[in-house]
Amino acid sequence: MTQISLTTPIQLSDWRDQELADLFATLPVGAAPSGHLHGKLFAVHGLTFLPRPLARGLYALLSTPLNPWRGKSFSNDKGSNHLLWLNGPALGHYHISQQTGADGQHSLWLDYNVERNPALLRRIRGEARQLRKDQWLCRMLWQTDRGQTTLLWFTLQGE
Amino acid sequence: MVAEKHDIIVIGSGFGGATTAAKLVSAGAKVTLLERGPWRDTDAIRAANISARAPLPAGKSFFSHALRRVSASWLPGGQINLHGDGLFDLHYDSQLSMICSSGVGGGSHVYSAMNVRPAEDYWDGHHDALSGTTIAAHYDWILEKMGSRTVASSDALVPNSIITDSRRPTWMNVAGVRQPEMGFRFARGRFSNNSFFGSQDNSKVSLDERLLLPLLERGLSVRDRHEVMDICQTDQGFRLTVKDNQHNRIRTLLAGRVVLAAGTLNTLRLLFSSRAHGSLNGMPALGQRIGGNGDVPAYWPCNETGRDYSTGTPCHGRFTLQDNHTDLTRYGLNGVDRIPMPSSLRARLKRDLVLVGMGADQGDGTASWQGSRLKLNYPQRNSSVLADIYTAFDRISSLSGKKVYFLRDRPITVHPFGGARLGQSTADSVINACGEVHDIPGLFIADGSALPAAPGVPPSMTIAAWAGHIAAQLISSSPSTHQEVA
Ligand SMILES: Cc1cc2nc3c(=O)[nH]c(=O)nc-3n(C[C@H](O)[C@H](O)[C@H](O)COP(=O)(O)OP(=O)(O)OC[C@H]3O[C@@H](n4cnc5c(N)ncnc54)[C@H](O)[C@@H]3O)c2cc1C
Repeated sequence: MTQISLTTPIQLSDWRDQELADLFATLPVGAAPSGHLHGKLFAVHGLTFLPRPLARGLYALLSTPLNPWRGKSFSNDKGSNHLLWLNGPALGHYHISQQTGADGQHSLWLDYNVERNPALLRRIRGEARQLRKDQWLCRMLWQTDRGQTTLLWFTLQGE
Repeated sequence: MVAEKHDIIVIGSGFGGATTAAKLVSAGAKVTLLERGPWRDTDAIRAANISARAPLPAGKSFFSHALRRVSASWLPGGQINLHGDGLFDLHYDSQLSMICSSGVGGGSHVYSAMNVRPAEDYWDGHHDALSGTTIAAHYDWILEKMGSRTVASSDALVPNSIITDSRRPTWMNVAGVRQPEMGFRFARGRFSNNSFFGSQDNSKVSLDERLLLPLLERGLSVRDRHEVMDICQTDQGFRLTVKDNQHNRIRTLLAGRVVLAAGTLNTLRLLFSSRAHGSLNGMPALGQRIGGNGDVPAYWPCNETGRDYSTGTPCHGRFTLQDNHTDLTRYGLNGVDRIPMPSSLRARLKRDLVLVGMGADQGDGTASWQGSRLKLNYPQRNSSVLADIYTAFDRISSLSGKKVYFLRDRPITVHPFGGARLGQSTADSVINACGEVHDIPGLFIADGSALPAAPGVPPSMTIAAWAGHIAAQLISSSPSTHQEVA
């Protein structure tokens, strides 16, 4: 029998894509984030074959300066990603609205299809729901002509 | 993806969880029971065609399946997880260590089947809305379900019972000592391998076969090998994070109401860690007033020629000393036949006894959450119960000329209680007279951690009676359930 080695209950970097989708489906849209929020990446598409402890190690690396992405900022119906430090250079801007998500329930929708973005980034969509006070679980989707694919998951955490 | 929503989720399938689930389902409710351990491979479970069974620790499975987890502050990360299907969970703390078990049926697999009511006034004075009379019928129910009765002197076939033992030392007093009722199938006449390591042939009655199996077709869903890792309060109830070790998956379940019955140790772990992660709030009295029910286990190498104490009922009976009224119980190493070891050692162990002293301690210990580990403080200087037991053991050493071995000042309990106690207000307790957490509506606590004081006797019936009371409260507050439960 294989046991899941889970060190803390909500160490989301241990979770698989489908497990996160199940959790996401139980979350409310909740309060809209505002200001600058720290980001943490995990469950990257295509890496789910990795054993959980290995994946956890990899995602821990993605939380070091090796990965320049620091988080996102939210201001009314607009927002952007920030590199190097929390309110560092902005890249990848999005428009924020409330919509029905990929699972048919309400989400905060981050639409990268805005003029300021290079063409490649315009295919990105983000979906966010509140996990707990000051913490949001989000997925990054890739829009193709045939629909959307989840690329990775991340959390946003208030300061 | 549609989230799994449940009306009532019960966490843990021991005396608290199995009783709550059984009573609720009998009254028409739909209940999902989450148990971290597996169904155990006993005759009854096999006959019910439950395929995902795990062996009790015996034979070659002994070393792999005896231990699930050991936790101690000096271990790396504070704990070692040995085997997900292991039977025992040991928590070492210098002031109080705790032993509990894992598997569908909880403590009923490892317990000595001593089914005892506490003193008549046990439930009085803890809450205005509660008294011994409120709970009495729930004791009757569980005692009857477990088929409990005392050994009678006419039970000639029962070997090693203290009351039929003609070779009992004269200093062992049984006159006026209340013998425990035992949840045991006496009529079968099988008296071996039925104690601490489980009872493969179900001679000892256990909760999985007695309470849960009959209800599987009637609205009870038991999810074995599902360990709850986090309880998060939401607008509509609770969101549980569950490790499903059967399918190597993490699951998220939603529940309107949750009955927490993971046993004292694990309920406290779960409540503390959920609070530390911000999933639950409040409970200012969490961790207050825990105790070990005065337990002191001892090994007495009496090495009596011609005896085989390893056979008989799971417990051989209670006694006192002629000049000391401390409550003592003797047990053989029942189950030793199935543990791989040199035959000379086995023969020797069969001639020795385990003694346990117990009594109503003050229950003034505390549990706290340090790092990600439960830390127990249990001030012994206040406890005359422990001092009396140490004196009694010293006395047995001198009366018998054979030393009784025990850990003085390092109590180990198999009967932990408290920490999420019943009481009048949020300031001094965690739950109210319905078993509901004062400041978290919809979350109920139905195991040893809820007990308001040390029962002073083995606590399983008291825990089950409390759980029965909670089930009755839930039923009376829920329009979809109707039948009489007590
Ligand atoms: C060796 C031994 C002998 C004993 N003898 C007696 C006796 O003779 N008489 C007596 O009255 N008492 C006896 N006891 C004590 C008795 O077993 C306990 O008091 C009783 O089982 C406690 O009931 P409970 O419902 O609080 O917890 P338990 O019966 O321990 O049940 C808790 C259940 O919850 C499960 N669980 C824990 N954490 C989680 C989680 N996170 N998610 C899902 N499930 C979880 C556990 O696996 C377990 O099955 C004995 C105990 C031991 C260890």
